[in-house]
Amino acid sequence: MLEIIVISIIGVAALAYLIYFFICEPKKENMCAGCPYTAGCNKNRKGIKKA
Amino acid sequence: MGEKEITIALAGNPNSGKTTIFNNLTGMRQHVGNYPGVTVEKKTGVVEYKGYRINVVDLPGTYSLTAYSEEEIVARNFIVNERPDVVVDVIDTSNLERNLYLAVQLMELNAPLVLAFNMVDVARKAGKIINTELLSELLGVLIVETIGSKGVGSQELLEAVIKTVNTGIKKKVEIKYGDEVENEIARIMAVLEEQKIPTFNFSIRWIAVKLLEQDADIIEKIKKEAGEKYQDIEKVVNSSINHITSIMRNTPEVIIADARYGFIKGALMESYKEVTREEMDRSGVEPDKSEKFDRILTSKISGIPIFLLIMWLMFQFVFTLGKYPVGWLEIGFEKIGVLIGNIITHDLIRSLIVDGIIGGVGGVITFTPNMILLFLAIAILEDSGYMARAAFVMDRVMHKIGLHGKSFIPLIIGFGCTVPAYMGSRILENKKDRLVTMHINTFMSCGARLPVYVLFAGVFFPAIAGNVIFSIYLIGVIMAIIMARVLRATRFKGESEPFVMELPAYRMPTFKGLFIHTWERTWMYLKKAGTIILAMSILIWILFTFPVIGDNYSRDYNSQIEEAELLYSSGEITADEYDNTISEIEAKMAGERLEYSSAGRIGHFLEPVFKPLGFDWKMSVATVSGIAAKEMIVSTMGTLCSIEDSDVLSTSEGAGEESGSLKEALGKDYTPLVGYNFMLFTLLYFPCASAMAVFRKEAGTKEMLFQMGYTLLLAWTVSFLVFQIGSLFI
Repeated sequence: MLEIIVISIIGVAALAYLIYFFICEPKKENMCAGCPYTAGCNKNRKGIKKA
Repeated sequence: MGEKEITIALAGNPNSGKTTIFNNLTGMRQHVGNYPGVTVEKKTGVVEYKGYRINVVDLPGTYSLTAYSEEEIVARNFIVNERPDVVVDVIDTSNLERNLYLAVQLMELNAPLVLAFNMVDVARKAGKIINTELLSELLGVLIVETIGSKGVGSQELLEAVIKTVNTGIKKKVEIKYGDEVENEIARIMAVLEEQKIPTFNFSIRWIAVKLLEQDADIIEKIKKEAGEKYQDIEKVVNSSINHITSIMRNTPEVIIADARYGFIKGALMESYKEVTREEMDRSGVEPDKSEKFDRILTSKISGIPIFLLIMWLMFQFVFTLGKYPVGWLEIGFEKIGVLIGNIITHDLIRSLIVDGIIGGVGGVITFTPNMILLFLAIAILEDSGYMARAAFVMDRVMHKIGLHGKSFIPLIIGFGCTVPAYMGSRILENKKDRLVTMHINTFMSCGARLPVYVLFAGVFFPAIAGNVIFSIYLIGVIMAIIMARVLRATRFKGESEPFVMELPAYRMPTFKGLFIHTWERTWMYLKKAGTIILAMSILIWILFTFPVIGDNYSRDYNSQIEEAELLYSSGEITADEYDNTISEIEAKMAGERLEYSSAGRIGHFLEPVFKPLGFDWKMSVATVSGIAAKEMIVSTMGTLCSIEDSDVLSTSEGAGEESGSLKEALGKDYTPLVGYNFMLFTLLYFPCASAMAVFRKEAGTKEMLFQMGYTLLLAWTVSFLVFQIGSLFI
């Protein structure tokens, strides 16, 4: 029973993380991380530093 | 009376024939000399033309707008402070590259510009052919051909001036100075904005560039305005200069100048025909090293074969060199699995860690050496300046499919990761160009798909794995070309807008630069393994484990095992026969156990869709899990194989035994045709959820759904044909 509880908690946490990642992450400003055109990009006027 | 007044400034390199043009326009007779520096201070004249009173100001001749000389500062300040309606840059056509440097700087100043290509007769005689119409479109400025000595083109020049006054700047062209410099420009811009520093009619970006170039005039002005606040700005600027210098082994000033020349070179590559080799030899002009390389690397004949050869070598390098550390990591993870399996006594927790986490995440981390090598190869190609050439070479192909070669830049970025590739498509101003580029970018196989190829090619084609992986990438490129053509002819009809492709000078990549660029991407890969892949692996394991089959096996396997044990102990079967029997029973139990799980049920539900492609339910589940992240395909297969071989959830004893090899399992379950087909399907169907989220953000929900729909349909159709036709022969 204890095993099932532990696995349930881990499972819910994993699911919550994925939901957070796929829903919240694209809304973040640092979505431009990795893009070589970040600095001069029209959609990034604030000049966010590339990660 | 009722006359409109226009002020034009004549700028140009010393000895470009600027004063002659001035005299032609104004009818004045300023002294003209056949040596630089005739115009030492600005002179003015007036011309009446078509109801306009045009004041012509002849600025001192300058090679650039940096603050090296008083002439340069005079010219620059006049353009910025007096804001002439049009700046006419007089270009010595026979020395285009050098003369256009000033034009590029004027464009950076956002000055309304007209280019007078002077002495075109001399250039033509020297066999230099310029497509001024195309160059004009590329640079976003009007170009007028003039022969100052004969007074040719003066009227056309005035027409162009009036047109520019009435229409404004045709197209704003922004020159990019490369990744490292652009980041630092953004940093400096941020601090200038933060400190609310006045920009003296210049754009803030221009000021940031000048600070990086250490322009004495601008530094002085800012020092004066900012007072104490200048210290903060100076700190950021110095740190930016040091950062760029340490990575690029050159000062920002040189890098920026190189980028401007790269821009010019790119524009001229498109619109300027080089003199023939014979003529070159006759004139005794020796091409520089960069030109020598370009003649081979961007040649119409050898350009594409060399590009393909470099790509082929890259995948040989990635696979051949990578397989040794990958093997060591595999052994390492296997040993960790066994160790943890022996320590943890709770069956489910042990299975979660060993089969779910180590099998899933470990399976992905195992391929890190391949990723490091791939990213290193991409960094070498980028930093050396070859990637820009590759884009240029592909330009001809891209034009044929209705796109500009510049589209190939985001496509090349797509070899690393599709997310920045989608965002990189923003460089294309035309919406249709951008959308087509984004829609075909999915076929440029991203790094996350590489583990799938390495795994399957290694299992089914061990002797020619590098070639097989190369073929998959090549099919991706070919598919991108075909689909671009199709999309251009259907949903996105229209001509592509021309752009300038910057061709930076060849540079020996620095170790630091290569390390940083490789590490940035590798870290993103590892971070993904530790976050999304970990979370997904846990969920996949749960889906593969629950509901637990318990006693719901279709047969009484325990009795069969007991029976086999009795037969063995009574000596009726040999040890080998006993082992085989037990293995068979356990395999059947594992199969039933997995099929009973939620994932098994989902897989069976999807199986009819994938069966015509040769995929079983396990591959169906792996394909679906790949939507979260492409590495999940390997991770899912790893978890599946690990659970299948693990005894912990069965009713038999012997928990914690070493997991069987994923490669062995794949080799046993599938044929090379299915393996290759699976790689093809992985290549062609839409990229991961993160990429799709970015796609939606960039292009909207409708386009995202179109992307998902058409790539799925294409992947299914191609895989169907390959499997069905392949089955006839194999």
